[in-house]
Amino acid sequence: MLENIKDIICSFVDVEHDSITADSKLTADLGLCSMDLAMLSSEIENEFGVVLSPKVFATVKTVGAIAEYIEQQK
Amino acid sequence: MKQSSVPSVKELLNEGAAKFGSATFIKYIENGQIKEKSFIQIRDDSECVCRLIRHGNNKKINIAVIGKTSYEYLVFCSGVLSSGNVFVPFSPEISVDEAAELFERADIEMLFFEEAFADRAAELSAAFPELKSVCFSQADEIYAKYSADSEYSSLSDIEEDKEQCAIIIYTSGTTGVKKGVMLSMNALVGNIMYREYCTDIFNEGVVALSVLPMYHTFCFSGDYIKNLKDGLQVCLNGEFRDIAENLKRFQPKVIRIVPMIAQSLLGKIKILLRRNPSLTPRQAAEEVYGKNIKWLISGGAYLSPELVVEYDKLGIFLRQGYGMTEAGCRISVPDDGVAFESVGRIIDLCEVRTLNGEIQVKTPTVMMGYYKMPEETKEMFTEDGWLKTGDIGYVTEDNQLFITGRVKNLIILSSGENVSPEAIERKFSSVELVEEVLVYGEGNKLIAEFYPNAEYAQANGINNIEQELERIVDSLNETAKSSHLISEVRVRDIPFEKTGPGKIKRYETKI
Repeated sequence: MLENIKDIICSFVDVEHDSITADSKLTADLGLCSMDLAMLSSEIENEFGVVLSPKVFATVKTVGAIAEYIEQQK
Repeated sequence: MKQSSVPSVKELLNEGAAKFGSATFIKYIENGQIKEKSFIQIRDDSECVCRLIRHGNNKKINIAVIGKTSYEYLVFCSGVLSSGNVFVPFSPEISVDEAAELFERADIEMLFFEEAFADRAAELSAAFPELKSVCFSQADEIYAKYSADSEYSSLSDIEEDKEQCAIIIYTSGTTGVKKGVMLSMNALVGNIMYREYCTDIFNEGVVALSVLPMYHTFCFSGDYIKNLKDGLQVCLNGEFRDIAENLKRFQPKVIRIVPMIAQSLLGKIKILLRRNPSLTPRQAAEEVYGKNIKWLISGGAYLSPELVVEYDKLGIFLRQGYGMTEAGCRISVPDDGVAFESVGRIIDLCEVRTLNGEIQVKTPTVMMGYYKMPEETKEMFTEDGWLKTGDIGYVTEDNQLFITGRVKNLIILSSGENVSPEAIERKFSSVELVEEVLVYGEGNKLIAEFYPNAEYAQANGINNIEQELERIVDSLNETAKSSHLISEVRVRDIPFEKTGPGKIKRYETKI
């Protein structure tokens, strides 16, 4: 699942897939803005079939935390 | 200067129905399916809402409409505007407390709301027992009961006074107190009746995607009223985050945006180009924006010339306009001949002068004043009647306007959202660990910088002050509006510089 999330993130920010880790911070490390996060939430919903409001990113701040959140929602 | 023969929204709806008839005006997604509504349909549905309002109600009242952009939202707004009453839009994110305060101040007597607001509407009804409220979900019943062949049909036959207040729009003030800008029908519609230089955009059948919130003047005036007049097809984006999918689905030619959207989507285009070297820049742009994209009209926040240049390379005109609700919306609009750094050409309705560097405006579409705030209204005008914009800039010989700075405290994020820092700072007033706090914007982020109370920290065993402040901010973020989320916490060792007793000197917002 982490790999799929990294793939999606790579369509928003120009970073190498392999340079993204579970600990990468979405805003501070990867540079995603609130607009990116909004679109990311939509793509994650489509990919994993879970409801993910952009507001979740106030507390879900890393790539690994997204994976954990999806697991909890499933 | 006075404009002659400005139509009302009701007349625009009738003209649209007569001129463009059953052509699609509004497109939107419902349960995964594309729905279409014609110019005739929206006119007829709006008339039903108008009759509902006037059924048993003869006096002029102020009516709040709360909802995300949807077909029903537009119908209820139009119904209010066609009924001779006053339309008062609010953000769908508004809290019960803020709504209660503003309802009181705005003398709201009736409320139309989307289903997501139902719980808050119930609380407001309890607080205001006289408030009549109607949910958008009752729309079909209203259309059936108040149709043109019903016993109520004559209720929509009214004589309009276009000089009277038609809309009150609450805007964030520099003091943190929201002010209700009153516009007459003549000002609301008159502001779109300027001479247009973009001759290939605002034409019948051209597809526009509407992504910004309709409770903002820039969007309501442009994406709805102007497009209704010009006969465009308006596709409603719905949720902000679905924009990538809707660009592919609707293939728009023109979009009104804020700079952050352009910046974010440019990022996607650049990634596509880097990973697919065989694509031309235009092809990559069309992958993201759809094949028809030609114009992006930016407003609400500073647009960097670098971004404009990048979009030119993609065959997309990204240009910005400038205005303020107090001026009826537009002061200048872009055309394809304006300089990258310009905020557009001053519209033929407006006169602009600069006094001590400040842009000041005279226009027939100027506000009637702030609702029940005569002192604040007076402060907005010079003694000789010019509207003070609070922005610094200059005008060139060919009537292009350039803005070089802001004299306001207000944080304007690159997303176009206005944030009153005082309102956020006040939330920390009861936090004992916080001695002083300053909230400011950098790009599209809000930063909270703290000077902590070291004594309190020591007395209470708080070793990692930054971590504790982050925890406090996270907890405040959980209940904050999305535009008020603090992205970063900074801690300083020395108190802030002051401009007067207890008044922290503000930083200039870095955009």
